[in-house]
Amino acid sequence: MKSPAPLFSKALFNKNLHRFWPLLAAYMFFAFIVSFAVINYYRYVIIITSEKFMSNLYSTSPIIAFVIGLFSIVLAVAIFAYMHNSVATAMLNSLPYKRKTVFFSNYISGLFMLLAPLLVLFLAFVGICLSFNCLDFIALSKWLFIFASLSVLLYSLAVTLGMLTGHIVAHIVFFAIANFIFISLEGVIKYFLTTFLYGFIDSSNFYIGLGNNWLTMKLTPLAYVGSISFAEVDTTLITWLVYLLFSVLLFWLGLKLYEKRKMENAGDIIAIRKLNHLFKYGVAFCSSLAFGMILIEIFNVGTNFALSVFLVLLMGLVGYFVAEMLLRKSYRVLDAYKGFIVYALILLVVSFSIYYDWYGYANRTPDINKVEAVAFSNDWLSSYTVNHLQAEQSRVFMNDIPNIPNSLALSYGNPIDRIEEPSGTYSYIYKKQENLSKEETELLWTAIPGIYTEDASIGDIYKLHTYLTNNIKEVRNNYRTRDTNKWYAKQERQYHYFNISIVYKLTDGQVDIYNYPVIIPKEALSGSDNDIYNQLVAIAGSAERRSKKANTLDIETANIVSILLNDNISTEKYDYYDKYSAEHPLATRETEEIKIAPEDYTDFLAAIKADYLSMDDEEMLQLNYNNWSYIRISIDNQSLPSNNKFREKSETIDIDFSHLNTLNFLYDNGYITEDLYNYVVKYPDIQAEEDKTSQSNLLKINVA
Amino acid sequence: MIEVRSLYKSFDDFQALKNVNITVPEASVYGIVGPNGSGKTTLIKHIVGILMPDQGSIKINGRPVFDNPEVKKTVAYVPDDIYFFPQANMQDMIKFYQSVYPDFNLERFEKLVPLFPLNQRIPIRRFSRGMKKHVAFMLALSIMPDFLILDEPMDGLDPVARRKVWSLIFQDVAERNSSVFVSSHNLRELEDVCDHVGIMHKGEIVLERSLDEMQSNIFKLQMAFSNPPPAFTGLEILAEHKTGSVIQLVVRGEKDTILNEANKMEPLMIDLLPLSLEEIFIHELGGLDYEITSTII
Repeated sequence: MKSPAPLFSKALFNKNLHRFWPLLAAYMFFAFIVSFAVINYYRYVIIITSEKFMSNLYSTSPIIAFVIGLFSIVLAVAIFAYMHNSVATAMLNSLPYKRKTVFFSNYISGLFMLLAPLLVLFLAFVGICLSFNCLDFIALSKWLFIFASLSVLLYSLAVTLGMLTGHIVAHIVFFAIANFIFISLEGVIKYFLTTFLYGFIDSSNFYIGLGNNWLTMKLTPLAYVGSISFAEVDTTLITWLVYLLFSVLLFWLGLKLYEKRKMENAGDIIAIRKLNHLFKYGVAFCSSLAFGMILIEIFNVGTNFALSVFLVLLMGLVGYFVAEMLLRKSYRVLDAYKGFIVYALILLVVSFSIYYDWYGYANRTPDINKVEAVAFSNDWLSSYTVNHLQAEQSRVFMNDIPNIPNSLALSYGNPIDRIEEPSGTYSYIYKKQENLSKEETELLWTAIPGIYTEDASIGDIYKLHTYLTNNIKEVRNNYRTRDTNKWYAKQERQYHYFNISIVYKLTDGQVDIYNYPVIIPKEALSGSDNDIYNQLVAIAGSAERRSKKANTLDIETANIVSILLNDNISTEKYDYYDKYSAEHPLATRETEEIKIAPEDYTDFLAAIKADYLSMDDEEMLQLNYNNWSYIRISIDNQSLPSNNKFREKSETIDIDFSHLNTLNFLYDNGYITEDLYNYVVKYPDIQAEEDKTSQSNLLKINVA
Repeated sequence: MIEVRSLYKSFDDFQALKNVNITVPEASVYGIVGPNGSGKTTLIKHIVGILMPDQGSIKINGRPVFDNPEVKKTVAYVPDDIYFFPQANMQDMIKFYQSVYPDFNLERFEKLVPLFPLNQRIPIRRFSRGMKKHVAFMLALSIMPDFLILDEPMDGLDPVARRKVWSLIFQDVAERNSSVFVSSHNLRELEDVCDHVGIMHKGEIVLERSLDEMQSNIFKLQMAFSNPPPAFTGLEILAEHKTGSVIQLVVRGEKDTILNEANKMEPLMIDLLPLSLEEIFIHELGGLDYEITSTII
């Protein structure tokens, strides 16, 4: 019985090494540049730790990932370049080898050239660590495993994509596209939905770290590996094993494609004819979304649906016929118009279905019985909201919480270890702020004003939500009618713009995120405008919100380092110089920081608290819209240890025209001048006068 | 023996090969001729296992050639456009061929060196087209092939080099019983070297015979008559031409039959001549939409 043909040919392997050794040398050179950069960094350091070394090593991840990506495609293109040339491909395929032998030998030679320098680099790092006595062999091996996985994956991807095309430029372009296709598509699709789907919200805005776009990030290994730091490396090897599994699948796919490849297609953009349609419509789709969206942005016509769809279709048309030209290698492609008509019809139907929300996206509501807490805002929701709501199952960011409860500050702010620096000082290591207990999570919520946990508040928010969904057509139409460039240019002062964001934390641990932008006239409210406005007012003035606002000011005066007040009006005069001309009483005032005297801290904070409790609901709604100044409170929480990272904080609070107690306090105690006091008191009248003038001017323009 | 059976191949909408059937006997020189674009190179690329057929089979000594290293080891291919690795010199290519072909005969290669004196140290890409062909022949003959597949092999070679190459090929056929499959437009040359000929037109083999058979089946008949010539019934006439009183006919058929029929017409003069391969080619394809036409430009 005959032995089967060998899978590996030493001749082909050697031939590739002999031909492409300069690439191997170049890659090795890059690798060593990085390695020497690391050595150089530690040249003057006396004591380093393995953690510091690894952290520094991972800081080179973007460069190493980029170099791996670059050399993956360069090697794949170089080794399989013969497939792009009919003469070369004829020579290689006339040799006495099975096709699988040619593919496998070529594949292995490229992989060898990609992995060998990485291994050398690893050994160099082992040497460096040994010389500095900071070797963590497991951590370093893991580093090697991660970047070796990335190398195998990217190289396999580059090789397999080469099997689909017979053109060198297409090979490189396909590799670049494949690497970023998921993250790019996610971006443009989200932009498309943000533009056309009322109520759409990109929930990844509310996560930190990988957030909920972890899948697209991991499907973009170049970006994912390039962005990881030593602290964020997966504790398991699952991701990297999955990458290796994908590599095996890609290798197998590449092998099968090579075995079945029609070598006469050398020079063609798409070498597998069955993929022609996929390529053509893929290019049309990507062109529609990417270039269409760019045009919409350039011409600023996002609020005009018909024009936007036209631009999307126009760019789809360009993409479709460019793809057809590439496939046929001819400019005479107009006879393929029927395919575009089908594509355009589908895109039109999809666009209409999204624009008119046939899928009921904006009509969704959660089961109220499962709601545990709600984050609500009619203006701006912190990007950390979801992490705060899901503190039990994610990493949370506590640094921006000024009045963080002491128990949390002690648990997560006290160092658990320290490292001595060469200078004799210490760097501290803290407990990771992740997976808080249920009690800790609930405690955290009490310190964050935007989060509601009381039944009454949740009920009000849910009521508003159901009202919006029940009247979604009217709400959506009102918004779209008013959300025009014309409105932004001329009628800003006559309307309230509320960006209503609701994030429900459910009992099963999940969060549901909703968004409803509304534009409501300031005068002559009626219908749904009136109902929505009243409900927003009720939520804004809820007891829970008022008490949380007031609680942020429960600061021991002994812990206050300073309170500084900055008035925006004096700053504003520079922005609106014409408005505050030389004869205006405020025009001569200089901007300055006003320091509140320590003996006034208690009364000053009490005045602000009193404002929160005494303002009417409508004024509570307008908080942060009409501020004339802000205060910055620097805190040194002396009840915490000196090395607690939450001990020193600062808190910023806006002071509105409705903060009358605060205003009076400042005036009575000589912190502000009379003219400023008078201006602030009279501000509502001044604004009304300006609105009237603006309306009159607008009327004149309209009449003209 | 090379056997091609019911071979079909299309490139997108273009049917390049259509039901091609040929047989190349052992120790023979088979010439394939045909107009440009008739499918000769496509057929050759199938025979050496580069292209994958849509339908049909190509067997060498009874074994399929596609993706079969054992068979391909016995085949040497000299294409019209020759490829060498861009940086490679002759030494590099010798090393590569030695590692790929286990039967590579360095001694034979060394014997060929004086015939084609070339600088083995400089990259082959700097050689002229003819010099590259020299290298290709030297390498092809050194792998000790049982089958030599040559696509327009003499293009770019000077007359002396052509003689040398043909001489080497004949030597190989004579000594090692190797078979040669050659495509060329130089029908005069093929006539001298081939013992079998196939004519291709529009992807089909329109005629395949031994050269002797082919030349014994088509003749040039020259006759002169005292009276107006009679109707040439009983003869399969492919072409007719009159110069003065001499009538020239290209006739298909057995030599004796043609002479008998011609004599019945009582011509003053009769002469039966064999056709050259070039004439056969022109007359065979003349009936297939490929006649010689002239245009005033």
